[in-house]
Amino acid sequence: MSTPDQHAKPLDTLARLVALVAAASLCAMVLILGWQVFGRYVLNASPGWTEPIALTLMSLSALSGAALGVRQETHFSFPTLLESLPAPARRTLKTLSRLLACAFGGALAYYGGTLMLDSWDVPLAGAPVPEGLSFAGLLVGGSLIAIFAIERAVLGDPPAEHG
Amino acid sequence: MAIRLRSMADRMETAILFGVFALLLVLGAPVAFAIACAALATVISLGLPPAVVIQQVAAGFGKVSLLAIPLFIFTGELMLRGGMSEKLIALASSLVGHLRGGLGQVTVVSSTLFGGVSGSALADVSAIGSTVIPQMQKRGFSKDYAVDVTISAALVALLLPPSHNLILYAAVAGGGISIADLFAAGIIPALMLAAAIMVAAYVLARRRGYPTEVFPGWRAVATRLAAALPGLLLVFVIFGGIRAGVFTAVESGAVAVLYALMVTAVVFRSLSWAEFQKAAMHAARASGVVLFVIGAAGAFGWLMAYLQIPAAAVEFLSSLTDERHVVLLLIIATLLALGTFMDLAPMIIICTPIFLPLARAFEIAPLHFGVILVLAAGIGLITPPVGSVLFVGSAIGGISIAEAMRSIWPFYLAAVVVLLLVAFVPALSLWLPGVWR
Repeated sequence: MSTPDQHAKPLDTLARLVALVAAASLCAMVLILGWQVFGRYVLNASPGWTEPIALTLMSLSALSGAALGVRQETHFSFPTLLESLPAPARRTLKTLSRLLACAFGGALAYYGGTLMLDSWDVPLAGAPVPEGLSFAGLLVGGSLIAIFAIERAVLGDPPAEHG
Repeated sequence: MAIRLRSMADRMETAILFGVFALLLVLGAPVAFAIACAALATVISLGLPPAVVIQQVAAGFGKVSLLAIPLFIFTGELMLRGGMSEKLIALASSLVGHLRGGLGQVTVVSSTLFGGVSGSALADVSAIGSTVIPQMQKRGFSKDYAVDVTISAALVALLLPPSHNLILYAAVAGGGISIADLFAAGIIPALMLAAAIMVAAYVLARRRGYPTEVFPGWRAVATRLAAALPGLLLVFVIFGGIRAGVFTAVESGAVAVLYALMVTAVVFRSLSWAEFQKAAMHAARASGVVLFVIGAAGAFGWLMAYLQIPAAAVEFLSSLTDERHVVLLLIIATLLALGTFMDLAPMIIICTPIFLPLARAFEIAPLHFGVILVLAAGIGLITPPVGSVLFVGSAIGGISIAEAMRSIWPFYLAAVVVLLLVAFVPALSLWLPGVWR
């Protein structure tokens, strides 16, 4: 059993930062899509950049959120067999599934990063930014998933959450 | 039986896809990672580049219509932290607290009202359950009753806007299904479900001799209605706005967040800056978890199409029977079974491409099928002993799953009866969209 004290402090800071970025991206999506409605009815012009940019932000926000879900282990799982096993076997399986998450996070970051670099010179349809930017969420989120999965594999179960 | 996959090799890949997925799931890996790793293993064994999976994950949640999901989740968080659920519980309590089963009935009505605001069964159980379950226990209701009435009432939320499940279904089913029509199709089934659960709550409360609340008088009802009205109006803003074509479903999400902010932070001044930050962070994480599984399921779905599994499934089920009602029953039985160990989002993404073509082949309307799918998958969430909402509810009520199972059956039965009625009487879901079109 781990206590909050066992938490690596730098990772706490990182998680806090990730939560802020994810939340800020979400708020930016609200404003951008709100602007889209405002633009259509008040300015009489529908901006074309709003949806592709909102999608890029969603990818960043969602994958950062998913990484935080890995840290707090809030991803949906089917624990029936796991719960019925003796503690050592349970610990082994949990570690295995955390390493699996780490491996997939790594794959997401590696291939996402490749996609990002490959399409950096192509402009995003509808907005004056590189198309590669829309894959940045994969690189960032994938790396974070891998980092937080390793944290869980090393430190064990996350501490209970408040608020 | 004529399952004709393209070749022996494809049959092998199909076995890898489902085998790895099932194995990882049983071993306790999170569903999203089990799905993603199964897809990765299959792609590697097919000799395709692994980047394909990552591309499909990105495409899986890179759809414009899915932008509505984080926004609706954010809206629910704001309404919850802004104290809207308490106002709705107060209103429900003055309306139905004096019926047999008192607080049990209040829970059902609160979930129906708040369901429209949160759109998520889990949010519902956490919001309504954490307020009502302890109160029920204090007033002599047994814990299992308190938990079971709450978790079954939470299913109502799945069918009401802003439930993102119907939006997800529309996105996966591929163009041609109007979200406004889907929302309209869910309304009568949702109300029927609420009524059925209230009847079950009544019968059980009568048998166990549970107390009722005192009717506070119409004046109190009116005061509480006035307090809850801004929250209730949210549903009409979303639904009316989409229906009237004022904004798209995605834009309605942004409008809903701004509306919720106005109501909680400006009108009621019940949302502090700290609570707002918490709401945004929680919403980002919760939607991240949902969207991640949607992305992973997107890769899984792409592979299913690549291996022509939906076509094989249609062929297989059509070879069993050509009787429409039997096919419908088979679909429902499969969905209920799968729903017990799958989350809603992957259920919708993986089952839609398999069963929607089948439904179409047997002239079941896509709108009608969408409601059946979400309802059946939702019932899976409370199916003992493994449903995830059952887990959350039991945790809030502080009881074991075994205890919670003691009185789940009347509620479960009520929900299944509604499911069968909705499945076999298409007018229940198709009438309203037709009228409002």
